[in-house]
Amino acid sequence: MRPIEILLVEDNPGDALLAKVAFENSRSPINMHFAVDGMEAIDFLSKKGRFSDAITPDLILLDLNLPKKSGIEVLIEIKADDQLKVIPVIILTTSDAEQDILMSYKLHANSFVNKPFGFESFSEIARSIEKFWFGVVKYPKHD
Amino acid sequence: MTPMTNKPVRILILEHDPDDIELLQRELRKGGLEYVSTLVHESRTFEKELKDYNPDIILADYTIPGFDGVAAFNIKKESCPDTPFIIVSGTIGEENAVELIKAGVTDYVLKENLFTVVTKIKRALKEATEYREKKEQAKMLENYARELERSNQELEEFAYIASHDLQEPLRMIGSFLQLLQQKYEAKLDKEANEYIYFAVDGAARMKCLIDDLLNYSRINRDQTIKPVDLSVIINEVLSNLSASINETGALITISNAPVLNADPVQMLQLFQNLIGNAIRYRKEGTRPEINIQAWKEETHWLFAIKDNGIGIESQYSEKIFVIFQQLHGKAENKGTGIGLAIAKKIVVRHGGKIWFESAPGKGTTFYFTIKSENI
Repeated sequence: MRPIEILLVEDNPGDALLAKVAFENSRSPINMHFAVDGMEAIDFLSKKGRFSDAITPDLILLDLNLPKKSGIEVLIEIKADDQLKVIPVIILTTSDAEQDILMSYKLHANSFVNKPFGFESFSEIARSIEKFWFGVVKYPKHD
Repeated sequence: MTPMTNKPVRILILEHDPDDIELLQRELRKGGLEYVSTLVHESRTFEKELKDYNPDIILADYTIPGFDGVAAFNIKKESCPDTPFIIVSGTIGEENAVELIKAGVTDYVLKENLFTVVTKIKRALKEATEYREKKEQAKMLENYARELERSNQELEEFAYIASHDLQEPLRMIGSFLQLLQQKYEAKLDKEANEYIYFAVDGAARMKCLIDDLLNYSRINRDQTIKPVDLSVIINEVLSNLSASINETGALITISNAPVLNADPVQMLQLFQNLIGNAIRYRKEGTRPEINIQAWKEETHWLFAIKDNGIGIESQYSEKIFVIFQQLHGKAENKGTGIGLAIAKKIVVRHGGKIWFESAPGKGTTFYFTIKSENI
């Protein structure tokens, strides 16, 4: 079985590290890829510049508060692209504002998760994501 | 303040008849009034002197050829509304005089009673001074109120931004401490693990504080009033508190839970804080019993949340609603000291009041009202 490819779009290195460690404990092998702002995320997904040989991820974890290009803008671009729109996008943010939740789903985010307090909760979320997106659901094959 | 005590009174006299002027001046001197005056007898100079001479009081003849007391009064009303204006006239009838007073003229003096003019001037000046002082006071109070409102808003904004922005770094501290604890527990000695335990515990408590502070500062920021079914809200509260309800075996009864116009999120917070406190401050060895009751009054709903807990001494009746005030020491306490401050702010925001009745050892009943016409 090939490893699961996850793109994490996150500008906070602390959160990126937490996510990396949290997914290290997963049952299936997971490759984490990182983009530190919205521009990088788009470059990665469209295999531009230094991401020319990037892999198309199976799942995208997307922060909303991002420099250069916001998470919402990235979400819009992904869901407007015929190839990319099938990749599940999970919003992972500190914001619990009702309008952010509503806006994300209106723009076809596949789920909305609040960054938890504490590493244990982070691990639980990672396990849930793994279990649901790579155990329970089926989605179209790409490549 | 009073021009009568410091400086001579500045009088602007509007009169055209030299004899009348002479009579008036004589009367003013006779009355022992310390004054200076300037004379005008037509509209243009009257208007100019109002500004340039800046009189303390105006004495105006009722009838002047080409100009009259009423026209003069209207000009004065525009440019210096608070300067007293006395009509001096031989011809004015009682009826006219009453009309003029109604229109705002300070007083009038009949020429045959000219000896009363000084008394009337003094009285008018005294009243004008009092009026001016009152107006200044009112303005000062208004300024204070505005200033207070502004600084309150600033404080709320500060609390919001501070608590919001503190979340992120605190999340990092808490998460990495936990990670450290989880990954290196076996490699570190007992002492190191104890240090980490206190740091993790501190971060967790700080998180509760910041969450509560954020909730507190959000009360005036976000409010949506709509019909709220409190039985639904209270059920949600009970489900949120299910861990401590199960742990303590608390018995919670709801006698009446109406539908009312309120902010649903804030109602949830209010009931959760009060019911949560009732469970938290239970009597050792006694099963917590909590009853929720509501009555419809004329303009408000009245609620009572009664418990059989440890009670509160009456001397703390005001203190417990103040933010960060706690009646219990750090070790025995499990709260943040913001819960009741949030409750009070929510109640006030809904046009109501909150208070309690209690006796130590006999339980507490919290009462609060919610305006029934919240829109």
